[in-house]
Order: sequence, then structure tokens, then C-alpha cells
Amino acid sequence: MKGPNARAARQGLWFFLPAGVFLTVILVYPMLYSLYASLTNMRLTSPITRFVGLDTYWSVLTNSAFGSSLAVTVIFLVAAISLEFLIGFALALSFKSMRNTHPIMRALLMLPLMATPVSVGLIWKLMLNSDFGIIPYAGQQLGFGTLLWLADPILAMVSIIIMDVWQWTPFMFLILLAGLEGLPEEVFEAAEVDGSRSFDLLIHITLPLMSRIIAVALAFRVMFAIATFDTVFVLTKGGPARATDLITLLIQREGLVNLNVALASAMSFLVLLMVTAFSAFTFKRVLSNG
Amino acid sequence: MAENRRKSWLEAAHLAANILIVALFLFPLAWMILGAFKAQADLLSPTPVWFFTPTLDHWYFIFDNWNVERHLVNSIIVSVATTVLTLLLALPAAYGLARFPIKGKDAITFEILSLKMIPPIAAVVPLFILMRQVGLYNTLTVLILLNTAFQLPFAILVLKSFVEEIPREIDEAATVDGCRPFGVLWRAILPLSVPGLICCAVFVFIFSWNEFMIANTLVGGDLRPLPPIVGLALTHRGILWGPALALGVVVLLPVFALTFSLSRYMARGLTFGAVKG
Repeated sequence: MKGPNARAARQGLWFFLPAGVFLTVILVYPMLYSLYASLTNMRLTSPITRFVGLDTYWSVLTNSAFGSSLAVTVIFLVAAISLEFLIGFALALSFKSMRNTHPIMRALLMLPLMATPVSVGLIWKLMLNSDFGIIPYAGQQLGFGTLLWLADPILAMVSIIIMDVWQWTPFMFLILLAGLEGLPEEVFEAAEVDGSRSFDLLIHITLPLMSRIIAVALAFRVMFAIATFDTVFVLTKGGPARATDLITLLIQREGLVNLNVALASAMSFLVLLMVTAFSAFTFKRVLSNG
Repeated sequence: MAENRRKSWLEAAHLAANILIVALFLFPLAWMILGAFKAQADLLSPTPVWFFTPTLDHWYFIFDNWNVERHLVNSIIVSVATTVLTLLLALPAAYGLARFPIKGKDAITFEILSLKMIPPIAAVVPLFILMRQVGLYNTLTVLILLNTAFQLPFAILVLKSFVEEIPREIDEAATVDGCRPFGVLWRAILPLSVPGLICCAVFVFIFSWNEFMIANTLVGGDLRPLPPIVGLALTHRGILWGPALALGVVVLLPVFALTFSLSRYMARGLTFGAVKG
């Protein structure tokens, strides 16, 4: 490639270079280092590090903690994201069909989403506290008896799902509402003239027109949800008895508490592999026809 | 007539339902803020206390005992510096990717997005080791650099989507006027990207303000920003609920002020520019 085009490409690269170099040094290099660490038996508590090939990966895959954390993560992701999508979509439809909703209502709904995650964990720890929390109190008044939300394995999982749904439903809502507002008005008017019922309208017109935006919203949500850490770390620390021990919490404990760097790195790469496989399917398609 | 009245009734009910839902989402925040002003006995009462005499005890406590001013200043320094550095690096990169025939542009864009997909914890473990080796462990600099690295992919993609909407004729006009590429960026693209820059700045500021894991791992003592201090308040034996809540509110205030005043710029940032809001 020569001539003006090549020169323009070179100029463009100069603009990209500072950010590219920065990302390489600060993110790519540590990840490569981590890849190296995952092939050794590196522990910060032991001075000797030697190359062990794929042994660490093998021990991760045969490690029951990794398997159970993976299961916890998948249950959490599927339950939380489905609820967030359903509630968010219902809310978006409800807001869309209002003639005028005040922009303040949208701004207010954004607050749970932007709230500092450690504070979110704190809020739910307060509300779910078995001695003085308002949710156990309400449950008691409604005749559910004394529920120990954070001490019972199943209820603890329900708790982190409720917290996540509260925090992230606004994300789905805002994206889907933006999508609904971008739909051509004429389609709906024409359908109304045809006498279509609103449910048929939803299934045959709204959903197909929204499919790309729904895919974008879900793809981004999955990506963020896999990294969930702060809120759950504050609320349950993975307990009781590892019932809410997301994969990120397991990696944090192995790497930064037990200082088993090799094991934590190998786990990170296995997670990364899954994320990449997922995103290769979804994102390339989702972003390309933007 | 009757039809019309029925319609307006339905509309009023619909509005009421929507307001109720918004209220439901706001309740946990309100409950926390109320809690920060309740006396210990009201706060720990087994039946929820709705009406109480507010007290500032917990607020005095956190400023007297937890050195909140110091951590607040750390948080402000880290978030402001991260925001400035991120925008400085991201705008030229976005302009380069949006406007120049760089080879493998789509691949680069996808690589940038993949970087964002790394769960931060995966990077924090190796960074913990490497930052000790280069002597950046326990400095505010390390927080600024790492937050910037984690926010940069997002900022590049959002700004790219904004720059792509600026008509190319503007670049051409500036070039005819004798601007070189850098001049085009500075004189034409920068002023027209202001909404995109605001969108990015709000998100980058809030994300680095909220960041907990890096701050909790790579700095200690007086250098910690606010979120690890909240985390710490919760791990003490016997949580000091009042002060913990007051601190939780302190952390949230700037986030809420920014979100509330700039929410109209933010919708597009949620999907990295993939859905125009």
C-alpha cells in the first residue's frame, strides 16, 4: 500500500499510538505475565517458582471449589439477567406508552445503576439483616416467619440476585427504552389501523424490530455481570458455606489472600476463555451492523 | 364523553403505577440515607422506625475517627486525574480509528472491547505483583494509571461513535483552510465532540470514584480512597452501622449529583455507543 492512503493510515496510527502503548503496558503486559504465572507453581509464600506446564490448569479443573463457583456464577447470571431483562422490558414498554414521562423519573431510575457498589452492598446488608432489617420484618408481618436471608444458602443466593436485579434493571430499562423510542412511529400507527391487539403488536412487530438492541443490552449485561465482585463481597463474602461464592470471589481469595498466584491466574484464564468464546459469538455480530 | 373520562382515568392510573415503581427503586437509597441520621437505638430497633429525631452523631464520628477528609481528597485526586488522562488518550485514538484507513481497524476495535471484557480481578492479581516490583505499590499514581487503563477501552469506543457522527465535510473544510490532521482534531473535532466528552467524563469519573478492588489491593493506610474505607467499616467485628451508613452516603453524594444533573448525556454511554440514546 503506497501513496496518500498509506500516509493517511500512518497518520491515523500516530493518533492511536499513545492509547495503544498505554493499554499494552498497563493491561496487556500484566495479562501476559499472568499467563506465564499460570504455567508455573508461583506462590508468593514460597521463594521457588518453577515451570509446571499445564499442571495448574489440571488442578483447577479437578478442583471442586472451581466447579462449584462456576455453577454458582451460572445460576446467578441466568436468574439475575433474565429477571432484569423481563422487568426492564416491561418498564420500558410502560414508560414508552405514557404520553409524557418526566425526564426526572429516568434520572432517578439511573441512581441504583451508578451507585457505588460497596454502598449498594451496605444498603442490602442493612435491609436484609436478620435482627433489624426491614425485609425480614416485612416477611414476618406477611406471615413468612423468621427468614434468615443471609444465613441460609438458598436465601443468600436469592439475596444477591435481588440486589443485582435492583442495581441493574435500570440498565436494561434505559437501553430498551432508548431502543423503543428509536422505532419508526408509522409502523405502530399502521398496525393500529389494522386493529392489531397490543399483544400481537408486541410479538410480531416490536420484538423483531428490537432484536438487535435486545442483543446489545444482553451482551453488555452478561459481560458486566461476569465481573460482579464488590456488591457480593460486601453482602455475603461468598457465604454461607460458599453458597454465593462467585468465580471472581474465588479468584480474589486464591490470589490475594492465599497468595496462590499460579492457581488464581489459571482460573482467570479459564474464565477469560469462556468470556472470549461468548463474546466472539455475540459482540462481533452485534457491533458490526451498528 | 364517558370514553374520554375513562381514558384519562387510565392514564392517571398508569402514571401513578410508574411513579410507584420509581419510588420502589429509590426506597433502598432513601432507607440508607434515613439510617445515617438515626440514633443507634432507632437504627437497630427490630421494628422499623419511620419517625425519629435526626442526629448528626455518626457524621461527627466518621470525621473524627475515620479521617474521612483525607480519603475524600484521595478519591477526588484519583477520579479527576483519571478522567483527564483518559480523555486525553481516548479522543485522539477515537479520531484515528474513526477517520483514518488504519489497517485492521475492525480487529483493533474488537481487541479494545476484549480488553474491557477482562474481569478486573483477573488483572489485579498480576498487577499486585508487578506494581510492587516497579515501586508503584501504595501510591495514588498506580490508582490513576490502572483506573485509566480500565476505563480507556470504554472511552475510546464511546468517543469513536460520537466522532463518526460528525460529518466528514467538516474535516475537509478544515483541511482546505490549511489545518493538518492535528489541527483538524483540535479545531474541528474537539469542539463538536463536547457531548461525547461530557458523556465519557461522567462515566469515567463515576467508575473510578466507585472502584473498590484495585484501591483495596494496591494501596493501604492514608492513601486509600473512600470505597475501601466503606468496605473496612463492614469487616470490623460488630459493624458500626451508623458510621458505616453515613460513610456510604458520603461516597454516594457526588455520584448522585453528577448522575442527576447530567443524565441526559449518559444514555448512550451505557452500551459504549452501540445504541444511540
